[in-house]
Amino acid sequence: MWAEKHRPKILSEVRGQDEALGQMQRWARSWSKGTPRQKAILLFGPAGTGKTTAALALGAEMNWDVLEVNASDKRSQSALEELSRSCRTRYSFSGKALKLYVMDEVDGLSGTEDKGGARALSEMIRNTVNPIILICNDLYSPKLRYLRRMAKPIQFGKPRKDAVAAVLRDISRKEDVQPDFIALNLMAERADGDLRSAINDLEAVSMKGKVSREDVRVPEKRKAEGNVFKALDLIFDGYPDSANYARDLDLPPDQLLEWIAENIPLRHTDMADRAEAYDMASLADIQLSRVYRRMHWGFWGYATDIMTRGVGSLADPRARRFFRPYRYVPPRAYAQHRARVAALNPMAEGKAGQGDGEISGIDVSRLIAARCHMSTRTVIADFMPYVKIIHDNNPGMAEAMLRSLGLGDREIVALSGQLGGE
Amino acid sequence: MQSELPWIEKYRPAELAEVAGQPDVVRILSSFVSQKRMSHLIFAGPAGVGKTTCALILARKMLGDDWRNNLLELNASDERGIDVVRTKIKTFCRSMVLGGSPFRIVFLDEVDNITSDSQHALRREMEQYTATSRFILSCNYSSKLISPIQSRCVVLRFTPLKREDLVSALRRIARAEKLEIDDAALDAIFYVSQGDMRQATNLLQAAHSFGEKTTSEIIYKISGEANPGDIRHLLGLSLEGNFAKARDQLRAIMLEQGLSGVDLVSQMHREALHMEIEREKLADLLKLLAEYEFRLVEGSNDLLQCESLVAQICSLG
Repeated sequence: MWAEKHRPKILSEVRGQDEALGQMQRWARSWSKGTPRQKAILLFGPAGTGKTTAALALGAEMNWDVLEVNASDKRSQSALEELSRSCRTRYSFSGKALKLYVMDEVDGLSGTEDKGGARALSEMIRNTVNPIILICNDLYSPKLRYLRRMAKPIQFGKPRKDAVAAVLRDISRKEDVQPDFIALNLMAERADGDLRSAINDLEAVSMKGKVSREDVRVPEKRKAEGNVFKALDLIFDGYPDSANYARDLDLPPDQLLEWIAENIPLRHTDMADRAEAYDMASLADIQLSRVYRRMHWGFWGYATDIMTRGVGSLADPRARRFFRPYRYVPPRAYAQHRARVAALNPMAEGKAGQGDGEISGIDVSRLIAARCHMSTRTVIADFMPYVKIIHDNNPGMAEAMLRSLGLGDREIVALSGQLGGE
Repeated sequence: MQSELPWIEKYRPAELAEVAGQPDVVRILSSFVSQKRMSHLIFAGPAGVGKTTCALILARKMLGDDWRNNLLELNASDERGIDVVRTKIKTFCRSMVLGGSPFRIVFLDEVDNITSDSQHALRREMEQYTATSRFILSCNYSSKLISPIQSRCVVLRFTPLKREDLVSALRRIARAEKLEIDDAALDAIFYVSQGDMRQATNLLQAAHSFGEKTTSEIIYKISGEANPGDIRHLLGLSLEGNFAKARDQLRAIMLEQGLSGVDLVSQMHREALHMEIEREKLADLLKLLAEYEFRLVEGSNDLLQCESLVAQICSLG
């Protein structure tokens, strides 16, 4: 495995992440003067950009003991307890000054297997006297709701194509493979910032000791995107055929709409045209959501027609001669946005739902309602969201408050199960 | 040990003089207390401005030591059926006044939520038992009550707390809890709560769970609202027709502060009214905001809808 074999051992060999590495080093140095305020950092970014590598290299460079925990380990509350104890002391067998805890793939904590894991991790951060590095892909994963506040996020972006190509060249040289530079560039481009997958590709195609561009096939995922660009051209140029073309795309209409909306400002610089085109996109979105709301599939056709021919009705024939820029829409962009809204905004989802257990949130709310002179509805809508915020930040404070209202163990367990809802 | 009660209970005023921001109501209620007499009352006003608190204080002051036994507190949202009026209330009013209290008090909270049938049943009982019972009805709008009930009551209107009243009440809590809070955070609480003391108190307590110092960032974060300055900036850029910058600002607010589309538009609505905008343009803007809040409810892609809204505002001209 070249990806393992050529994993950088020192920080300066990690490519294309200068900004992130600088932040990591500054944080590491802050440990030289005792326990700093920022005890944990959270490395986030797409796969294969060097997060784990950088974390391990940092530990080696600082001469810290490194303890790595990843998704292959059980990370439930009880499993993490031992770590949680050990991170409160600086004692180490090897006599090194500090222990670095690298918690990899924290957004992959399993809801059932690793129950309470996120909370246990945040406890760990609260109590530790040793540095902790958390690693995840999706900073906005709801599982990181608590952790995001406690650890300083550091972003690992996708390294640029030339940085990836440079690494591939280095490795080729070390492995005695004759590189075809165009092939390496193609490979780097296709990796789309995933350095690890680029190295894996390189290893795979260089089995015969030579890499040529015929070996680097155009990957499947690029094809669908190519079709989207064609569809956008047809739409924005006002071709009647655009609707049919859009229907044949391997892309659901709501995602096509994302692409269209994202590209409206690039195609329409005239304010009135731009507003009109957006208006069409907005109406198409409404049609789409009506499909589900009313369970009437007939709306679907209108949605597609409005987003293609409707938007296309604003086409300016003169613009066809010019180079047409595109703005790339990352897949799942909107889904991520939604997750983010939910994660950041506890009020948006803060209603105490009805539980499956013996005691429901409604029952508990009723008790609180009687005690605090409110209606059950007011408790659920105007009080519980705050209880949830307090519970998220400081479960002990929330529990004391609920007990003072006369709630017993049963009610508190029922409620904190619902409030915790990871 | 300090009480761990929710602050809305812990700091619920026990005296009329402590009730914040309702001087007119307090004056009338105080005169009732000093004369040991009262009529049926309607407390009308928005949430969290002291209606329930005043009812509880009044009951304690009027009824004396036996106030608990002579007060029937019902929340009409939870118990709204006509049978409640016909059984619970009737039974309570018919039975003897206990101890040294001059009469019994029925406090019906959120009474605008009871059916009109129940209201008619209630109307009879209010007349029948005047010898022994007084009614305090609290509601958001007295006009939602049938007129026979209105005519049997003195209507007292509660208003949202003014900034200085809300802030000084919050400062008292902060002092008692020994927490640090600056003017910007107090302003943020006032902005978000819009004079709702209950929400303001809840916000303060929830913010406190974040740690030592309460800042405006924390308040906006937990309230799910954006910083009003950011919203005005967004409106300003849009009205200037600067689409590119307006869209960046929009995304910053929605993605970083995690605001939903509907919350964003309703906040734009609130801010637009306080900005210097020519009246024709303001009228067009309001129409757009209303239309897009509707589209947001009907549609599914918040970001797309809001970007379209910004594009429309840009082209208002």
